[in-house]
Amino acid sequence: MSSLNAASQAAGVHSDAANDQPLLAFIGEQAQAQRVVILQRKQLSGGAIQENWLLDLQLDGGPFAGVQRWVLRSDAASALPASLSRAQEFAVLDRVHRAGVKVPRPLWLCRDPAVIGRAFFLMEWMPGIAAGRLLSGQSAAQGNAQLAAELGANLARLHQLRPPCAELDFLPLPDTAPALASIATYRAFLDGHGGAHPVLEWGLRWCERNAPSDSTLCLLHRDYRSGNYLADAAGLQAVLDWEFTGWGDPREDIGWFSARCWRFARPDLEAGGIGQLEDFLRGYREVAPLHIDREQLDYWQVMATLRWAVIALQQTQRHLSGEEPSLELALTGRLLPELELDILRLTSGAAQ
Amino acid sequence: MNRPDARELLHIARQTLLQELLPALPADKRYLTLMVANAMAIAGREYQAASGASAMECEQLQALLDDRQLSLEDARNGVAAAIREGRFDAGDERDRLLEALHQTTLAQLAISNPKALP
Repeated sequence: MSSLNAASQAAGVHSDAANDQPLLAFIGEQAQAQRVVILQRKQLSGGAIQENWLLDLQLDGGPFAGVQRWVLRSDAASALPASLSRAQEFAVLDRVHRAGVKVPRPLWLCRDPAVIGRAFFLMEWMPGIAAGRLLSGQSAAQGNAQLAAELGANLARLHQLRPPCAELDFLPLPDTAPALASIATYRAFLDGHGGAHPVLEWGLRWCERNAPSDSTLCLLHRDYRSGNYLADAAGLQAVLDWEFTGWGDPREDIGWFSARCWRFARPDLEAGGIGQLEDFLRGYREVAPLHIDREQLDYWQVMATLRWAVIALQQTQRHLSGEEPSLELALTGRLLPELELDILRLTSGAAQ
Repeated sequence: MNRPDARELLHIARQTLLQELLPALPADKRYLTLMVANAMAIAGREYQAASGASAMECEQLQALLDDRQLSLEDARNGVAAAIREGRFDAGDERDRLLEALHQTTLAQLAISNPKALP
């Protein structure tokens, strides 16, 4: 903590007293502190959907007395329709934290918009690198077996949560096989979207005809991939970005994690560009049994690629509509041919 | 025809961006600058290859539907609808569809990201 202290002092006390008062009062009350001072704050990257602020705080008195490094997470101006509110995300974080999933420890939720202008929650800051390109670029020739296994074990702990769950009753249960429910959602989107996409239609038809009939429901992260967790030399630190959580087939998360589109600099490393799939599955199976063969893995990788293609079209639309002009969103639209080639590759085999 | 044409202008503009501006920019603007360069490269390739790629795709999709009069947009809509109805589920029809989709996708990939071509 001493280095953090020094850095904070060097940066000086950065506090707009008038605007911060309600936030400091909220923190003081929750943490039972006599006094709270913001030593430093910095906006963290990551999130078209949320804003994340790093807060270095000095607390006097109470169980959190001392210097604390916390993250404040609030809604951003424009939110995607499929994502959870911050109050819901806090409930998920709290539940999975108690289930032993590695996440930043959730602290307090504030629903009162008077405090900072919108709902937010506070959680512990965690060290590590999130950037998928960096993590995959640093991976050894054979990948990082420990990190892959930890990611597998961690996902298995999440997947032990089954419906019903009173604290998560805001998450809808699919009323049909989860794969078919997703296919219907993507088709509805494509129908309302200008221009047809024959390759995506082919992928959806193939997934419809090959949909598994043996899905069990469990809690999914739905964005479990390189880029959304923190890791360092000590291994996995925390899984982030829980705003897409929902009930579904556990193999969906595995397909998303391993799909080629999320392997960044290392398409040869099937476990998220950071490790071998065998290590990931071994870590998973050390926590819970899992049945997934090559055919099923391919199936859920096609589903993952279709989902990313649909999200890419939605993101492109945010740029094209003028809602959020952005070079990054514009270029996302040009990822489609790569995703379509992945879909064709995985669905062109001799099997249907 | 105006010379330099659109592709030639984009090419020299991109070269200037990468060789003269990028080294002078702060490190935290590097990623953004590379995205600008990428957008210019895609636009340049599209200028050169788009009409050929569209003509090829139109021909391929028309053939699948056995209708040489269709516009590209109508052909795409028609093929998409036929896929959803199951017309290309199996057999020769399926093979013809996959061959056509493969070719049109490779042509688009050659524009958007030729490094990812198999």
